[in-house]
Amino acid sequence: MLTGVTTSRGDHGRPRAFTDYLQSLDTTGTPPSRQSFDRVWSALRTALRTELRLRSLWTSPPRFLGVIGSDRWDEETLDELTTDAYVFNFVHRLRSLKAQLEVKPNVEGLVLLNLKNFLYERQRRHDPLGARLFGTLRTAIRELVDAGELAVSQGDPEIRNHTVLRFPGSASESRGRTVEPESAPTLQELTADWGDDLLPELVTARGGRYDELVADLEGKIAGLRHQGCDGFSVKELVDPLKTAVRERWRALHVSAGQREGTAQASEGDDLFGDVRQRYRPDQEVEDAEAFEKLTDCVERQVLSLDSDERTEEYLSDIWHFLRIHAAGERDLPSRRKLAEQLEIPRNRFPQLYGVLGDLLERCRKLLFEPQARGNGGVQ
Amino acid sequence: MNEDRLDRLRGLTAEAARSDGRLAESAERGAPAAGDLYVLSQTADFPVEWLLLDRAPDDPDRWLAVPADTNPLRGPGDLWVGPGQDGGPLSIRCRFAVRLPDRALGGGHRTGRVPAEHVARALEAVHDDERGTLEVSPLAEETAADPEYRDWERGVLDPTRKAVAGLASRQPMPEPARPTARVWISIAAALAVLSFGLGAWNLTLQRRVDRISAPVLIGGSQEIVVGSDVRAPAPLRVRQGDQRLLVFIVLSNEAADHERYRVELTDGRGTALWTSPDVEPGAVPELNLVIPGRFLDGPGAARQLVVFGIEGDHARPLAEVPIQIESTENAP
Repeated sequence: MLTGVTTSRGDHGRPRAFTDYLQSLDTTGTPPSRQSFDRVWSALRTALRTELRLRSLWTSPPRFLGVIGSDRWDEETLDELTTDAYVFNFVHRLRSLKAQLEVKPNVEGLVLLNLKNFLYERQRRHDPLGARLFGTLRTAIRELVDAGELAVSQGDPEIRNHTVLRFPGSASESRGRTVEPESAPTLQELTADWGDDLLPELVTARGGRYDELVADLEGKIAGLRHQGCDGFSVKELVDPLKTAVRERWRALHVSAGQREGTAQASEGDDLFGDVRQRYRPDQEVEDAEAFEKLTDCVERQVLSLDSDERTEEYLSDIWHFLRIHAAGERDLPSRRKLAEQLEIPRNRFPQLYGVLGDLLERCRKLLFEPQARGNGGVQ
Repeated sequence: MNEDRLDRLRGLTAEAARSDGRLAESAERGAPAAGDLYVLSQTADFPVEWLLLDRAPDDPDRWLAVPADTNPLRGPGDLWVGPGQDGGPLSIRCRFAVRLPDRALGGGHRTGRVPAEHVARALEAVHDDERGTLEVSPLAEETAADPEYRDWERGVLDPTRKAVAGLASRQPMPEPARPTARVWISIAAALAVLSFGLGAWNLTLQRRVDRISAPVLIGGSQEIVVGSDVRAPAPLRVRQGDQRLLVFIVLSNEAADHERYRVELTDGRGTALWTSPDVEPGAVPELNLVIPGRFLDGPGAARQLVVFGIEGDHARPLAEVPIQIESTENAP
């Protein structure tokens, strides 16, 4: 039995809904008619919902896109996201969309492209761990495909959730379809301990260390063929891995009341509170520039410190940890857990927190207090 | 949606449209100048504008210009014009500078202006890039490693620059090209599958389907996505002995504009076991399909779903999705 979701189609989602709307707007300050607004709202909501499903976000908590108040997508949460997507497209990007209409017959595709960019930015901001994991996995798979160790057998060759990959020469490839051998372990079982290996580098690694992380992941993926796996879809690999990494990350976190040495941890709490305050997860994607500037400044300052390489690495690791942690948590993990996770001696934390606190304050002044800029500036 | 929110959004839109009108009006006056934004017909296939920075130092008939777009991802040499500023939000891509002859602007449209401070910073970044002294911030370096950003460079910025490279020569200007298919939204690709007729066997099975009309509660479902991003979706998996398979067929934005849709269930040789009637999708671009277990008999039995988009009398195959039937003996 095959059914459409509703019985009538109407004009919603027709190819020119967005273009017609933009062309109907006048420059006198008159609001768009209720009818035309409703039409474009409905089309936008539908397109958004489809994108969420394509990205496997439909089954994830809305907080991964910065929508809070419910653990699942419903009318209200989808309305909230659609409101932000509407502003992103038809308020902030109205000028650009109308500009493109000067040389294009319609901008339907461009609105959809904007939606994709909007969702990706939201994801990067509110689920940095998940976004970073997917990006790293995608890079590793691409490297393997380029090296001929893995082949795209179905789906988008750019490596998306629904791309299906096979190991060349595998039994399933010669039969032309994926069949898991009897008694072969599932992908979830095969990747169960990957989360332990990927953290904390997934959060802290940059430059050469990040390349090593990608290479490590490539090795793990390539090794799957020797464990009875002939092929897999990206979604099959990434979903359990995201769960494992998030659980591992969450395990770090304990409430303030549970931690030992509360007095010792206060310095870190102050610093984290400062980072969180400046991060402001409630901000719009495009208002987040101040935090980005601050991050850039702190990272540059760390690199320019007159300190040994190890201290520099510790400072950088803690800073990246704080950045990612600020996206989803209100409290710091205990110092013991943090020390274990980041592989930094516990007794170094007070000094490292102190240095980072000073750098943060210095950057804040340099960036946001004009009179301080004359004393060194920030590049 | 509540009325307050609706009114607020309509008000914001009206204000943005009025502001755009003012900018467009002021941009239309006078000769091209540094800070002007242009759209060019030669790059109509790409979602970019061109920002004029300065006259090229080695050729006063050309402009040093950089592409600018609304993707917020910013890597090395990219500058951001915020949403509250003239022309914004825009990412200015300073590593992709070109020398545009004056005559290229004749085939384009001036669409706005960017504040002078951003033009000065962009010019400095372009020169730094040419000298190899471009300073890359840690965050920009991080973004440069992001596959989404690399896709943007490869799919939009590189080809945009190539598209105007020919204009830098002194050859006569070609006629402005009519916009063709846009690269950022590819059309759902047709797959080479054959359309199979409705045989006697199919009719028999269809009658059986009609008889299964009692309400059914199903514990799990599967989903396939049809569209250009997913030309051949991942296989569906079903266990031998399952009473029914519930499938949500999600029509991606690129595949959602057909008048009607048809789904066919075939065996391993491509023989149609069942063909749906042609169905119109609703406002939500999805199709829901329930396949009774008897259509999925036998471990290792090959089954396949073929999804067609229908326009008039023409059925266009959009996706074929294998169904893997797993033996219960393999269950963990």
